[in-house]
Amino acid sequence: MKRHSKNLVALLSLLLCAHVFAADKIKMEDQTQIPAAPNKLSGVKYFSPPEDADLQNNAFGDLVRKGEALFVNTKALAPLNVGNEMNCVNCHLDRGRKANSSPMWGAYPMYPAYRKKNNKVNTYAERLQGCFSFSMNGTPPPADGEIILALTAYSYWLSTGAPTAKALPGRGFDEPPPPKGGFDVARGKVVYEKQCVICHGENGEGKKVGVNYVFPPLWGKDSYNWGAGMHRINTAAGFIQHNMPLGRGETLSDIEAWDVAAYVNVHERPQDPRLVEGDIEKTRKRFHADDGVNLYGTTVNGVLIGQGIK
Amino acid sequence: MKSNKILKVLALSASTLVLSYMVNARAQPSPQNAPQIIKIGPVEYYDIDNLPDDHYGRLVRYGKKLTDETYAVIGPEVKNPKMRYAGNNLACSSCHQESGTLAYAIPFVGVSAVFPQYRPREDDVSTVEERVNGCMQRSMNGRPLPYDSREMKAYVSYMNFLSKGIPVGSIIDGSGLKAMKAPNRSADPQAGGQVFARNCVRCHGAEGQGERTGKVGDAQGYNVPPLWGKDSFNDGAGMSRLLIAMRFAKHDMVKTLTDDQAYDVAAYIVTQPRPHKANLEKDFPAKWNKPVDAAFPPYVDGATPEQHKYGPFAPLAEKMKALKDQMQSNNK
Repeated sequence: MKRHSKNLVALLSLLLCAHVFAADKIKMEDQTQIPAAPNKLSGVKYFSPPEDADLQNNAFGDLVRKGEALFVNTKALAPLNVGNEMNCVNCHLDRGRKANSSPMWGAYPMYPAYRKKNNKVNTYAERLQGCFSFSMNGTPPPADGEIILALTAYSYWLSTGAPTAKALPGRGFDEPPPPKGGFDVARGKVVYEKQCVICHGENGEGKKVGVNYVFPPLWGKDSYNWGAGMHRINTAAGFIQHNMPLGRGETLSDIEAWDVAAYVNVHERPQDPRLVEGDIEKTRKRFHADDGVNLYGTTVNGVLIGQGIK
Repeated sequence: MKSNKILKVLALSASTLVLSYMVNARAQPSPQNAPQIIKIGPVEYYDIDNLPDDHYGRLVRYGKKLTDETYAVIGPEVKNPKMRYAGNNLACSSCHQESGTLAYAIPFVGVSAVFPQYRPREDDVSTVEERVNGCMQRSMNGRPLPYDSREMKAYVSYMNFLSKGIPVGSIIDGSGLKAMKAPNRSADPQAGGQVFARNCVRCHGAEGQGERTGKVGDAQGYNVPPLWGKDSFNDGAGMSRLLIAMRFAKHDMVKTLTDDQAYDVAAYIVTQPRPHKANLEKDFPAKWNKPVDAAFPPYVDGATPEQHKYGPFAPLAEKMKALKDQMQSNNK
């Protein structure tokens, strides 16, 4: 699913703007939402972060390596902040380097930015804290503490050469268009059993070796909660289409990706920590009704979705 | 550098960049992580009126207001005591001229693209928030802003706006202060006093007291900032170091001073009383990268406090270089 634009002129002017001040004033896009990834032009590679060998052996390099370690082994190294069994690298593949897997080089330069999710401008530290609250179902580390500092330094380093405050192709998850006839959970179950079960298990429980997960749980108590971006079917479909099955990304059709994303996200997971007055309907109205495509607070096959896991 | 030469260099590097992207479409390795040299745009380029009236736009505008009218928002004379973060009535723009957009006047432009970075003063990696709070506690002689305060986020967002399009890790041409070689002698505060009388008194006053906009207590700050005394930066501020003040005086003030005059007038200014920063001796904990003009203990190279304050600095710089080389060879 590669969408190429042919507008080479636009690319060249973008590059020039990054490098010299061709225009009279800084051009600002509408900031009401962080811009989605622009299309990647044909024949141009995605941004690539620096190589490991490029990292200096000094205090900065040490902090970056610490951030990388946290990124890969989040649960083990930040147990007070991670409430489930997830690691950053579960969604941000290849240590946060891979295009269309919400790479850190696509995220870091975009902040501070307004996010509809919490209706305010978020610094990068706040964006990281958001992941800890929702995707990690945990307690955010303090903005001025070592964990956020190390993750920030790691993200900064991965972004070396990426323009500040400009969306790059490959940022986020690049969502495929929704199926014309709508997604189908039952069809998604078929895809899941054929393509996903071998790693993520029949009950989405993931796979452990010893005490450590080697494949993350997709639902249940050890997975991301109902407030995480991945609970949106459109977001999960983007992640899946580009990156799943692991090592065979971009082999599922757009429809298969949507269907299996719906199947994953029809299952229960930890409650949205923003739960309004203990009420799923109120929570749906305030936080989910206008948040992409999701099933929270809806009824599927007679079952209310979004009850959470005690 | 002449402006036509700059244009040539820019044109060349721009075409190189475009070429490198085009080549990169087919070949590895990628040059896109190599640091680029970014020139700071003209002041008009950084026009906040170009921003929409949305959350981000409002925060950026607030950041600019905080930069230009620091005293009126977080100064010691503002009504709400909780908002009194700065301890003096300076503005950020007292040093960071043109709202932080002027080359070689410690511009904010590009700051978002070069932080977090290692800072010798802390011997640690600092985020941009920590750097802002360094200023708050030194140049503003106040207390740190909370990270989640609207004020801190406004500063960070304003710097982000000023850095838009600049690749992360770039080299900013015009960052900090313009380099200047200090005369290889002891600076002379007395001669500096005469330079001050002739060139600076007109604006900054005979007592370096500056010129208030209104009256004491009105939180309206200064038309011309005070250079010493209780309403100025403290002795932990970079500007209280002779070589920093010298470069600022030479390139960002009247612009007619000779190197010798800038050197001596800086000596005159650092001789004057100013608020004291507590725990100054904890600055630059890695002794090998303590600046030679950091005129406070501990001193590591056997030179006198006098020499660290007034120079000559070239012999001190040589000693420090020898110390660094020795450390590096020890590490091998």
